[in-house]
Amino acid sequence: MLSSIILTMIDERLKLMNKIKITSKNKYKEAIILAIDTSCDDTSVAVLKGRRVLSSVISSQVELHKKWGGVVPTIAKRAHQDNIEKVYQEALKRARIKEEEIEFVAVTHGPGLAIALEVGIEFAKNLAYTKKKKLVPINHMEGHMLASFILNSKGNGAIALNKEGTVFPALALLISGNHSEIVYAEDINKYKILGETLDDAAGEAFDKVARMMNLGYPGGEIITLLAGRASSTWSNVASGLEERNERKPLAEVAGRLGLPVPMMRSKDLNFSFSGLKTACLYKIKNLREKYSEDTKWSYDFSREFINAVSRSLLTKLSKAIKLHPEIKSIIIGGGVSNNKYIIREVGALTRKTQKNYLIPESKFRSDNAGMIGIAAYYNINNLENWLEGKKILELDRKPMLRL
Amino acid sequence: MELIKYNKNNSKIIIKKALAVLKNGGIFVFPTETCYGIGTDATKKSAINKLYSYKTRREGKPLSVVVADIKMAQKYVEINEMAENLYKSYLPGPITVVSKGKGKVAKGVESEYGTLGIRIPEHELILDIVKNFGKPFTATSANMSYLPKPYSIKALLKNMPAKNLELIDLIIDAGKLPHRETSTVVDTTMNSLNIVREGQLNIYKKSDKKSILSAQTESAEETINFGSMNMLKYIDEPLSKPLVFFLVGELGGGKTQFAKGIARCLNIKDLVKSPTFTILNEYNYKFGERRGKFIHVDTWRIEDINDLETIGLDNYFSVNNIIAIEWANKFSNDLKKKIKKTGGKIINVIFNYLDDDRRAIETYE
Repeated sequence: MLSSIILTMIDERLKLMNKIKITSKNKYKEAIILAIDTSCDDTSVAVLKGRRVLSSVISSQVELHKKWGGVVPTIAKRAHQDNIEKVYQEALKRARIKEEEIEFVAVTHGPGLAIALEVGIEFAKNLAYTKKKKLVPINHMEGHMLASFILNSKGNGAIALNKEGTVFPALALLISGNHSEIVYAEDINKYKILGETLDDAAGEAFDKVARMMNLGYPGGEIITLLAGRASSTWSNVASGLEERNERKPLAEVAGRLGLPVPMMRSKDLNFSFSGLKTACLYKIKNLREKYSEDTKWSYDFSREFINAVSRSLLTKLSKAIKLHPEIKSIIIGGGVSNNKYIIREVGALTRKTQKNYLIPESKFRSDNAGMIGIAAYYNINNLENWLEGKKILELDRKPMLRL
Repeated sequence: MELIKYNKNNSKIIIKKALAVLKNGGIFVFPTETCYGIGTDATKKSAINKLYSYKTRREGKPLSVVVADIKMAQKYVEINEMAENLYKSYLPGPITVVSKGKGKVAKGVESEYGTLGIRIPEHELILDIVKNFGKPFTATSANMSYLPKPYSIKALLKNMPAKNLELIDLIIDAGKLPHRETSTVVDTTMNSLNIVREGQLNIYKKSDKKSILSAQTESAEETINFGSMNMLKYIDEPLSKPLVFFLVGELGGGKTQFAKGIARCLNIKDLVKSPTFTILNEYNYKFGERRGKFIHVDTWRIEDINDLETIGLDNYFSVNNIIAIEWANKFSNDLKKKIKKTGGKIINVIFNYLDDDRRAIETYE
């Protein structure tokens, strides 16, 4: 008798606890999150209400710099506290949110350049501690991973509210100036790196090859523009290479100039772009000598270089898909996915696999604070992962942080 | 304010009207191959002031200017090899090429660092106007600050305050422009080849000591091994001072591979990747009883020695630390001074290409 009473009591107690849990979960679905990212050359601040990005401001847009905004990576400028204050004010203004309304402050604590990370972290700590807000440390790469889950200010986006479950498990291809990774995501917040670059990142290869072509900095975008002028014969040659022969491996050259497709023979899922970089240096020297004043070679060359990078990415991605047939989705993230040639091919591959295809809106592909905010949203709601009170002051930068 | 619709037959009249506006220090809105731009005489102070009252929030930021061709550009900026390359292979087109200015435009057009952006739009009418005008005019997008880039006059004029509208003297309406991204801005004042080459020579000249180790490596793996070998040579010396490797060679020369070798020798298990983007990567190492940090630095994107101070490089020049600096030749004299103060030892590592896979690598003290 007594034991049954106790059991009932425990039962009631459990029900109550569950209830509390549920309500506490819902409590943050519409929380105002201020997100900060200073891991890159830019300072970015975003304001979110739940999953909706109300504003997302990047320092180069605000024209703070005396010099060409965001183009020349002068670190001293990045480290300048003034930038972040101005970007912060602008983000609040555009979101029509007052400082008092912010409940969570999310900040990138790694990976990135230590001195740059520190600027964001110090600002976030100060704001959270003095204004009594909760501080959410975020891994920059989780931001890229979850950028596709961002909703616009009207609440529209690829993945509707409470539909996140339909996405996982998933594979993510994260490609940026600093990273090239294939990540297995069992669920939100549960990641495993399957492959990554052993030397240069994909975006870095673009900038360096552009530099070899003597195209200034940053030259990645210029290569893409030049590729747009590639001769019509180029695509014929390239599509000739596209013909798949089941018995033969994919062609190991990217086009008729003979640039190698990196890591075609490696069995793992890692990337490496330093060999391609070297091959490009040689090819550029040859082409320069051959054509001297006529720079038209650069069009076909650019197109073939992009093809080499994109084919390397694609080969490893399809290998990963074959190894993990159970995945429901393919997630793309990172600034290099703004390259129209690369994304076209990645898109074609994913459509063939009939998996869900998640790619963020263009402005959320390259580094931005909106993606830090969305990652914070899930850290808050799924993991209750935040710091409060004195704990806030303990947060430190982690320049080499991994997923 | 006059609004005139542009069609293929009335370009002569439009050019005339635009020239009249420019000569009076007025402002006009024009189509380009990207979005609508706003132009005014870039050499006239009053015209630039007027533009600044239209674009209110452009404090301190330089404006880019439209020129007709490379010849006109040369009057206003110094065109180096890199810039010339861009002009040749891409202009006219949607690129703004930043070069060192010659101070021949009105104050506030060049940046405070004396740089100026040059634009040669791929648009016949605009090229005709600037050719006839004989001087550059501004090429900033026609929207007011914080508003979206305008691709139609309708979008531009929507909600424009009368105060701003009054400042515009002429609008050339070419209808709805195809939505092409605004021009890519490329800085050619950075990482100039000359500086890099000079630095490299300096190292050769000043090192009167003989090569301590040299190798011809045939693959990336061999370069890594050579890096380990070099590190091993010093690991048994009592490292009471920092040990700094200056890694000097072209892009793709094997500098990062060499650094991987140092890390391998130091039993570092983390993946050593190129620090180009992060500029400085920090690893902890433990070799026997010795513990310290291995610092991998890449100055490729750095223009100013002060930036190396900002990232805290100086703090790393301390006991037991091993530092590898890619492109150290860019700042070799400054770095040498800093390292000398700490009593540290410098190892110069010079990378030379032989062919696709083979490198000649030599190290000097």
